[in-house]
Amino acid sequence: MKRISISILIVVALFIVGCSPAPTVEEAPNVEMAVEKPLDGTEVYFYGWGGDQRINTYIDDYLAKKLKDEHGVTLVRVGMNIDEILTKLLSEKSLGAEGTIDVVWINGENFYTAKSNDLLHGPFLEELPNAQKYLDFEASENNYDFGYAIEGYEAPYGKAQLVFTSYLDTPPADLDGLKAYLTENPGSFTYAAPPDFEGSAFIRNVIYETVGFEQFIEMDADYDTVKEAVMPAMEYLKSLKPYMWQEGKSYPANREQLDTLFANGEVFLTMTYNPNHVSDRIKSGVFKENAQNFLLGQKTIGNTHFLAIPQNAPNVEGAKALINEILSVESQSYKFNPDIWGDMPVLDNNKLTEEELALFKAAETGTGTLSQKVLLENRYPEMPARLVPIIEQIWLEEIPEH
Amino acid sequence: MKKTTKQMLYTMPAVIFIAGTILVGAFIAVIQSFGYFPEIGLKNWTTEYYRSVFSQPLLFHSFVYSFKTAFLSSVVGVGFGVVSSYLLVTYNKELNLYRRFLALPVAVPHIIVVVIVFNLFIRTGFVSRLLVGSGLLESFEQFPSLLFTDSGFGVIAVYFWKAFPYTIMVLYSVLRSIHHQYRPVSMNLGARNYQYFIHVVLPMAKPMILTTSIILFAFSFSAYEVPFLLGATVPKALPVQAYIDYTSPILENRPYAMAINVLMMVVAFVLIAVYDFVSSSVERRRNHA
Repeated sequence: MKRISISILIVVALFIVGCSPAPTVEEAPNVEMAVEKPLDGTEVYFYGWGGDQRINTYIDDYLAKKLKDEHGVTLVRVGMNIDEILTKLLSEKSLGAEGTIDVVWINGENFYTAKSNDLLHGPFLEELPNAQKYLDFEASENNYDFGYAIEGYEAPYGKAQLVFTSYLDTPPADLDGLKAYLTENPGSFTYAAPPDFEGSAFIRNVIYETVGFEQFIEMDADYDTVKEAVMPAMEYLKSLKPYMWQEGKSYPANREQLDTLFANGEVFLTMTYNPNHVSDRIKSGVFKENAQNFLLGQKTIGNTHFLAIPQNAPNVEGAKALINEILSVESQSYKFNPDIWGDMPVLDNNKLTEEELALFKAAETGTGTLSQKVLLENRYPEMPARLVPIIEQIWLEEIPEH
Repeated sequence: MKKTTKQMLYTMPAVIFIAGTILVGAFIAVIQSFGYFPEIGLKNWTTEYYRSVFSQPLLFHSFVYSFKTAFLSSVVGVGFGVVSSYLLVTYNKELNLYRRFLALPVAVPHIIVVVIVFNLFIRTGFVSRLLVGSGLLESFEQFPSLLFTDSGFGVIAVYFWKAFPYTIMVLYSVLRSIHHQYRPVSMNLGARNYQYFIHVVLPMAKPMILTTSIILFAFSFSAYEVPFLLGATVPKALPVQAYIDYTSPILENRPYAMAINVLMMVVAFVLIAVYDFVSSSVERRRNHA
């Protein structure tokens, strides 16, 4: 009995000692840790198109490692097409379910849909240190995505620009040149039918080259208005038809098929939104060594692709850490190397030091490509997203054989 | 009775999962096709989408295009399949040929077959190179345009490639049992090979042939990826049109996609009814016999 009461006393005494000042001593470093690494051990789910192995490798190997080393965050990439991501976000919203996506790769029409349906978190862009340090907030490309105001709901990820590829020493310089070339070499040209991304961009580029781009920035998404504005371009495309591949009655379904036709010599040019695509294709032996990019016309359409955070993202802070990392000089210049991905950087060259600029210069090693400078100086803005499906509809009614 | 209850219980989890997913999907498709899509603020029931879909002349052409490619590929595929299984049963009893080569295409996904057909039949493709190389054609320009045209050649070729071996897979064992039971009798009664094939094999295998054709037709009528990749730019196959409307960033277009989907579902239900009728009439005949 005595022994028991003594043990109880000891236990109680130990308990009191253990409870008293010790926790406050331990708490202090905890708080400090919390400021330094609030994200440690969390996961960030990055959803986006997963169809290119090099892009996936960039995310899985490079970005995931940086995020792990610097923030202790585990990056999980989930490959999913954007329409499925939007459907998922919509279903989560209508069910009021907990979110599963932290960062989503998005742009253009899909950003419009996501933002106007309140599927996105924000504004967040100005909170990111690297955005403050390196982005040009005045640039229209950082304020409008396919003509739709960004308002801090997206951060730029990379840039793309429509380029054409051929084997000719002097490819046609403009649309008249293209037509002249085709009358000499009938059957040697086609483009992918919309809604293929590149085919649709080519049609918009013809529209810009024919009737200018200014009028489209404020244009209503009204079928008749758009049709009246784009008809001269449709007339041009119609006038090409007799000299086109399969007499312009039918068109390949996507860029990959157009690439095959080009590689086989059935058509004289192919086109892509990735200016470094040509060096990749030369390297893999699909295109011959002398394939060379060019711009058909004065300028070509360029666009920026972005990163956004869903409204119901479970790890918003982790998402911001990832996006901030992507906006660093190191990540952007690494991504620019054609051997890695070849995606054009989004940072403002005026805000970079000589050494930082040298990093980008060193990454510019593609064969058959045009320099970043040439591309950026000859760049049309994208058309407002709401006009794009209308233009595709008009093309479908006017151009292919019925 | 006891046995069937037990069977039902055992299959319940799978049935609930599969039927549940399909029925919920079909239900959502139907209500969205009638304009009820509250997630984007559409709450008024309307038949506008059906009226708009039916009033487009293009839709009729799409229907014809889908019907034509699905019908031709399944009829030709099943036809070749029936004749080939008969020949295999009669002349290649060891099954080697089938096991080694003919079963292979069934396992190859459609999307891979699309790539094969594309590379075979474009104007500068494998077939055209063979013809030019062997001197049968003077230049690639003489090779006809086969893909992306409204003849539907590419789409039919892909579905034929799958339908042909699939039919053999299904019919081979049926024909073999017919062969064992009735061929000696027919031959004994003085039938020639073609008479035996037409008057004995075909009538006995008819229900199997019909149901196989229905399965193949229903699939090729409603799958989108093959006509999306190899079909004509205009008219687009029905599932392609539905897919484009569905993936459009303008969510207001989804009800149009759903209206087309419901149309395809109706066709599928009619086919199920026909299938059911055919297989139950076989059952009845068996019970009578």
